[in-house]
Amino acid sequence: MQLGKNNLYLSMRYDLNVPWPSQAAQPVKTAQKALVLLHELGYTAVALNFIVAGKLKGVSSPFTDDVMHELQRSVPGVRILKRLTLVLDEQTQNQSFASIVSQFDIVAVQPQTEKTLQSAATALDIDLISIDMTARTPFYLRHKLACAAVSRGVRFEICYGSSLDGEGRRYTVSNAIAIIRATRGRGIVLSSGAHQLANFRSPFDAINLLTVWGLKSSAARDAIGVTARQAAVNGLLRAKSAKQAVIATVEDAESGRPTKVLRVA
Amino acid sequence: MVRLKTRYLLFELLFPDSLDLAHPHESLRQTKSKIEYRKVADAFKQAVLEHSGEQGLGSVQSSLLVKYFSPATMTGVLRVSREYYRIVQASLSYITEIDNQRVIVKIAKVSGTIKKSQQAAIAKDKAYIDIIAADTASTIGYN
Repeated sequence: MQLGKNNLYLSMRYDLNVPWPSQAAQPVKTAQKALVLLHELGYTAVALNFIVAGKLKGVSSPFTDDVMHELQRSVPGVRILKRLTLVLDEQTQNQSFASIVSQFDIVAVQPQTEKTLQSAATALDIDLISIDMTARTPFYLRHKLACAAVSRGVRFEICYGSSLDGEGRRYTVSNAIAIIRATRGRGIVLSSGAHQLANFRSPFDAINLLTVWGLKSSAARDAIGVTARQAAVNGLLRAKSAKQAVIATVEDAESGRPTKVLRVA
Repeated sequence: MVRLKTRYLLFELLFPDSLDLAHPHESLRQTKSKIEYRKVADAFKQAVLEHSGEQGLGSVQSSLLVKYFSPATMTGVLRVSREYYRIVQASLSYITEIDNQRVIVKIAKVSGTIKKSQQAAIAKDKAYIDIIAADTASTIGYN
């Protein structure tokens, strides 16, 4: 039995996409339920996803300290991360990007056009590219572009949540296969993206779904473990380091405790 | 002669609609109406048919069998041939409803012998009893 590295990685289970229920009457209560359920299913870290479509101006983060405190209290054992997803359909939004981004742990982009996909993959300072799984993609995902993104440290996200509602399943499976093909199985993060409690699945079942869709089982296991963690650490480095190179303390993505890392390059 | 190779899937049914934040363990396993063996077995078979079609059901039909199901703990063991267990597991993941109640089917363990899955079920139940006991103790003031 291998010790150290493997054991640590086996114990990490990330769900990087739990949509923030901004439409719900009591968003905090609804999010709490999702967190408790995910904890019960065996996840150790969860990212709450705040989705912004359209203009960024005047948008503020719903994750205030009070809200985060309240959420953390219901699931003490789970690391809660703040994630922002920008739905990009034109290039003009990029100006006000930097100011809001600093309030989040993870930044993702959902490109709607070929052009925004191009800039997300090659230029923008982001952690995740999230492709809308509920509809046919308006662009063809090229292998060269996807690999450029992955080698730059940007990961692709596959959400399984939409595969559990009858009509969405076909597109979800087809998009998942497209992403697996384009990236050749590298740099894939699996998350739920589920809008209702019944659409969350346990880590083991989620890994199996990804395997059935054609990813190697080792890469599928990493998709909620190591690769997801890398995306989270990437985000932490953006928020808390100088030029992503020097950092005084970095919080462990799992426990939130600061670990003594003085230099990350 | 070659033995028929099988996998035993230890599954749990969770009911997210009855989730109560104060007692997540118990509430997730409580149902509004009774769910018994027949309903679970039928739902699983239907799910395989829906997800992988006639071909899929045909390939597992001879081996697919719910060996055990306990409505008290919402835990059971499903037998399936080794080649196709991943397809069956995926089909079970696609289930969202049994008997008009929203459900999450969670596979807790895949094993090659029924004895090992039985041991896993017992270990899991023991762990839950501990959690529930600790929970109750803190609610009624012993801690």
